[in-house]
Amino acid sequence: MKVISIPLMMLMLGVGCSLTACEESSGGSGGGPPPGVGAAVIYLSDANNYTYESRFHIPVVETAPTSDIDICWDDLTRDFQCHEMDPAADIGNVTLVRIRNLSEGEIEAALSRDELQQSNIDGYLNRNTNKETACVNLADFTFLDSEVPVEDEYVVSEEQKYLLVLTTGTTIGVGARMMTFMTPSHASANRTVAVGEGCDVLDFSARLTALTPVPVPSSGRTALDWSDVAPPIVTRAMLGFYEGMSVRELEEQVLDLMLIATKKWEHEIDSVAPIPLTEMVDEDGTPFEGFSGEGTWIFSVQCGQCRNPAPYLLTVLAPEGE
Amino acid sequence: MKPHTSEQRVPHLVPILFSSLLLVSLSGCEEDPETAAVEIAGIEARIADDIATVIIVEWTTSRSATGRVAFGEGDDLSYSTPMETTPATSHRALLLGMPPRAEIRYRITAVDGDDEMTSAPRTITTGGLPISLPELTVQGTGPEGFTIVPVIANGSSVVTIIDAGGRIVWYHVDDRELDIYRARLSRDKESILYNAASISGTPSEASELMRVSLDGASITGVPVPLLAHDFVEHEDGTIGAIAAEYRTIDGAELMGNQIVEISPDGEVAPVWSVWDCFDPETDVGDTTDNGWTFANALDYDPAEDAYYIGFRNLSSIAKVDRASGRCLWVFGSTAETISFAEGAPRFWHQHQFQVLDGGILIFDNDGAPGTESRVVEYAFDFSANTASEVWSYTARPSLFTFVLGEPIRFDNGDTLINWSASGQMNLVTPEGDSTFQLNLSMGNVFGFNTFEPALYRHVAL
Repeated sequence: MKVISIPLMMLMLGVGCSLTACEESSGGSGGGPPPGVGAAVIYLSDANNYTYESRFHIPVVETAPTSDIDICWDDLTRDFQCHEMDPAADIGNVTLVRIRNLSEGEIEAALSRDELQQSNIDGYLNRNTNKETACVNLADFTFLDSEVPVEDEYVVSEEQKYLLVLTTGTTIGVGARMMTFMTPSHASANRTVAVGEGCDVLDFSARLTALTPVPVPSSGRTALDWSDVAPPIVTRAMLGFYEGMSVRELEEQVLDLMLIATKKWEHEIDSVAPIPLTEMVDEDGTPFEGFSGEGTWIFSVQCGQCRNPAPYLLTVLAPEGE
Repeated sequence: MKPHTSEQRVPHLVPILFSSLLLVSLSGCEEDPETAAVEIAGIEARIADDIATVIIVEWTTSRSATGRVAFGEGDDLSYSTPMETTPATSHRALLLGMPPRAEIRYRITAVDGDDEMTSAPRTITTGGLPISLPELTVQGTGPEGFTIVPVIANGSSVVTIIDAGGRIVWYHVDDRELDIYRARLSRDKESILYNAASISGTPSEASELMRVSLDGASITGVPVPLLAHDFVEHEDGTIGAIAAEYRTIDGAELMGNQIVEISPDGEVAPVWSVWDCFDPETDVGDTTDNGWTFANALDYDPAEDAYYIGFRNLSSIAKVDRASGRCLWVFGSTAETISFAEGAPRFWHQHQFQVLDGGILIFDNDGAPGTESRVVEYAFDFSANTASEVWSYTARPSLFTFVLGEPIRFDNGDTLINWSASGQMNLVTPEGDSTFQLNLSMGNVFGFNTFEPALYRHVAL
């Protein structure tokens, strides 16, 4: 699957103007470069973006229907990106999403493409853990803070699938660390769901070596316009330096790029405006001051609201003279 | 009037031209502002600070004149702001209904009596939507006009106006710990009104009725504790809203509902209570989820000065005389004065509805067999006090809308169905064909919706 298909909306609307209006006619006000953009803007295109393939293999646990179920994740020490985590401290919310008219395979495929829509959902139950526990009871789940009888809502059905989603934050389904299908069955007397580690849940492979690197001035005084490549739902940009590492080596560790960077600078995205590299800051709040060192430079934009953790845009920057 | 542009300006009243020339020559080339043709100058266009799809156009005229702005996407100039009603020399207009990141062409026309001047066309590009706005997937073309609908997500709500192409053309984000269930264009078409409330668990004491100007610059609110899902605006600007009402019955607190009215100057007064027409001893409904009645939908008929109010837990809808508070009829499964004709399907835990001429269209959340929601149209037989099924629609594939939901019937027979909690809308023909579908990404649901053919009071083309 390619990640870099341009959303139709972006094609229809065209690009080149940012949140700030562009005024063509003389005599009007407004227009000009976006705030903070003093240098040239580099427009990124599909050719600059990576491609990837991903597929979820979500475990299935059969349980008794219409029953209270003990749900525990003590053994969830690695999430589905195979990142280390603390079972209690890193899970703040557990949601049981009821999905209709899709098979488990279709749900996995939709999650891989981040295409699950609200119309696929016909209910959900939620339990906020406050990051204080690694076990909850299904009977304690609520719908919009209202108690819901399990015997009415967790039932055997051909049309409905139940997806348990464990997330770090409290926004339903966002920031997922692990997922498990729960299948109520008359043939089962099981009343326990033990969520284990997730290293086998997500197959992910990426190609960075085929993309066209983006020439950038070594001073870093430029802004990158990502709007032709990623949809306007991305929330964070990351510039990472990987000292002594090649693009091919990074290709094997795409989901770990945030973790293995020698140095990284980030930027919260709240508009579709180009991102000035010199406004990206490191963990101490120090702005990026230019490219130096031997290694690989990666620029990516990610969606904090999406179920699939793969960045929408991931490209290699090639510093060169001014 | 004969329009002309500033580039090819040909005053069309020859006598005025001659007299103007004569005056110029007699007065040493000083043009008499009373007789010279009106000039348009100082044209400035900018994007509103808070809404990237709203364009503010300002201009001046050489003398007092009225004016309007024709505008549209690309080469189109078929939209227009209303013609100003008061002549002035400084002018301001909002260009509304335009999509994000689109090139908008606009042209100003100034009118002073028989003299009309039109500026050369100019362009401006609207900004992009904020990242926090929901993604919409669109199939087909929607009804010609604008749908005003809140989108509720965990942690924030946004009021949107969506055009026939399924594009968000206006928005206002409200990220307080309350949800937005209903938004309306105000009757004066100067603002968007919405309720910020909580319908789950305990109703909020901090709920408010909000008013946001269409340029986003002015945001005001009237605190109305315990607001529920819905409100209407009367012709004089008074707002009628559903709120929760608590009474102690046999030592126990019981939550019912009332209708409160908020006057234009912000005075809040209860005008009707569910206890006026229903008795919790006998009219118990089928569930006590969220209290006794759980009123969830409100409409108003100005011709009859009557409210229509729906109760989820009673699965009934009542017509209430606004002046007397008397219930004129109740249709549904509890305390009904109009019952279901033989063979007519019952609706269950319904939400919004539309009273039609001789009938009613109802969003039926739970009435269909299995876990499906549907829209059912009934025809009333007031002589027999029964209602028969006329039409119904179930989405394909079917949807289960566990909260909210609203149908709107258009004059051509099409029905816009908002499957709120399922994050989907469909425009459906009388034959049951969907010609338009809008979907929200997972985690977002629609509130109730209203529909406006135009965002301006009148279009003076």
